[in-house]
Amino acid sequence: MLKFAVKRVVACFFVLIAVSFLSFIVLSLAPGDTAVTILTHTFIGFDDIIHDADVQTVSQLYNLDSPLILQYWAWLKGALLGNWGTSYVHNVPVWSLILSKIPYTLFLGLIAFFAAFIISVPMGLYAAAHRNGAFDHISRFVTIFFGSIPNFWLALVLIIVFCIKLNWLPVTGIGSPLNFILPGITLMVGMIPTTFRITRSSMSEVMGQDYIATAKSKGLTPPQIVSKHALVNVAPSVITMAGLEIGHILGGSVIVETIFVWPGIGKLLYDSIISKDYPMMQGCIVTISLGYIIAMFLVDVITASIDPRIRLGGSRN
Amino acid sequence: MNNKLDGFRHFCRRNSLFVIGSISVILILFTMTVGPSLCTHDPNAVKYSEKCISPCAEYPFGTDFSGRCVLCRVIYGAHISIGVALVVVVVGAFIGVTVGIVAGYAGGAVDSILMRLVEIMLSFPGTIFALAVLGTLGNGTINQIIALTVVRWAHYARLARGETLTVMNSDYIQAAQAIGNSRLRIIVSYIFPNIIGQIIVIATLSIGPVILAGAALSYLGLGAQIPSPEWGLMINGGKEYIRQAPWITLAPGMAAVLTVFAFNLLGEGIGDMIDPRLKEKAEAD
Repeated sequence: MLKFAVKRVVACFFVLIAVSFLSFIVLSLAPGDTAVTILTHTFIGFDDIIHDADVQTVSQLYNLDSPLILQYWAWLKGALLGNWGTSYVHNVPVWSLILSKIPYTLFLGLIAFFAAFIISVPMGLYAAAHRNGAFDHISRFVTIFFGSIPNFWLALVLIIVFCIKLNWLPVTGIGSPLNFILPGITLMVGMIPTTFRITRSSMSEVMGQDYIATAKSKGLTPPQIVSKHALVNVAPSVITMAGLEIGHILGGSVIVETIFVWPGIGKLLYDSIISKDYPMMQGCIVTISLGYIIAMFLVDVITASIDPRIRLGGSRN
Repeated sequence: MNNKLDGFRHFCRRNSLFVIGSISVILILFTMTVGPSLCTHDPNAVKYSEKCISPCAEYPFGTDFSGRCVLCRVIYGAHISIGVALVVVVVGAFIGVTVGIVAGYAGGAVDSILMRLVEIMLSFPGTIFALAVLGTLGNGTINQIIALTVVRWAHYARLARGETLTVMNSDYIQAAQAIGNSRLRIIVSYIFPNIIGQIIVIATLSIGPVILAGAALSYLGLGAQIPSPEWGLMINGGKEYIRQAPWITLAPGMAAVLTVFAFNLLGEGIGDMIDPRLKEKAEAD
């Protein structure tokens, strides 16, 4: 088990390095002189006083003239030691700003996820246990419909109904529990289709196995079959699904956070894109991927400890 | 005759999602094609004297903040939203299938390198990577297509590689190799035709999500630019007016929901019909 975990940690580390390299390269391909971008942020509204000498100074300061691979190496060395660079716009360390935003995104995302989980997992299990029944058809239809709603539009519709017409809820702010309702619902509706479909499809697969037929033929009642034989075998896929969804929380709410002015990492990333704040973008992207990779790692370890086939075989497929 | 009708009824009942989905997709494509010639208003004609008129006989979905007919703009917008998604899915599938077949067929180091690349691409959250690419390339419809394609191809590549590996074990590939076909010929005439069915299922299933992703990017102002009637952009423009004129926001959103719903039903239906297990593999992404 320990050997398996160590192997996964090493693999995750390399994926993270590769992800940070790829995003560094993509961001470096941006047109325009980065030094000029930095100076424009420093002298907002006074672009005309930027001299070539300043551009050169800034280039040297931020090491912008050296080859890309050396720039990346410098970033990586810093990043491993906890220095993620300085934001061009806010002029504070990228890492400290990201750390201050993570709790907001995580809290909102986890609330939405648990709501989605509580609704869709029982639905998925029931639908699969009564496959092709009326409930199965209706719940599939409804969840496919949920999956067809653009989240930014849903957010606006909720604002129109609950904030403008009914005047029940506030649009923005983070102070009261009421502020969680609309962004939470928007995120939840986006999560339900995936959680439902994966629960339903893995449960249907389990229900088609020989051991379920055996349980039936020895005279167990349907509730006994589900509780004693089916649920245990659905658990690994449901855990994997939950891990994937939780891993997506950090990156999944750019739009929702932007609309509801939620001070999380998604809003931070959006703002950094709009203001071309590259160190901030790089920091956000690496953090979001890190969240995903950590979630995947935990999923692998948990499912491996449940299911010996994965631990010994090394692969879920 | 009666037998055939019964058979058809049976087919419809067994594949209700496919039947409903394909009818709706045909209706939407029909509206998209015929609609513009029925529009009596120019979707981009600004007329401030008629701004923010609520839905009426003349303007069924009302007019927007520049006095433009919202219905006309929604119909014209369908061309952009659906067009972008189709281009992304087709180009993405082409690149992905090429990479996947090459990786699966070549094996060894080529396979390892290509698949590591695919894994890295898949460990980025899709929207975030598209945002990064757009942050670099700048805004616009073409860049939006590039960004979405860069995100999508890896999904198809992984699937195509898996399917190629399955097909490679078949006797007919060995027979084709034994009679001395070139590698290119084996790939083009033996592997490709045998995996294209699965690819089409996954491609159809991804049209809806790609329409949503494209609209989201345009909503953020990173895709289509003003005065394009792209749905995401229309919703973004309307949001300043949701108090006085909510229809500017509601109409394009409804159009997006209906379109994506139709494509999703079609995709799910085709998936149910052809190979339920395959669809489950795609859902795990």
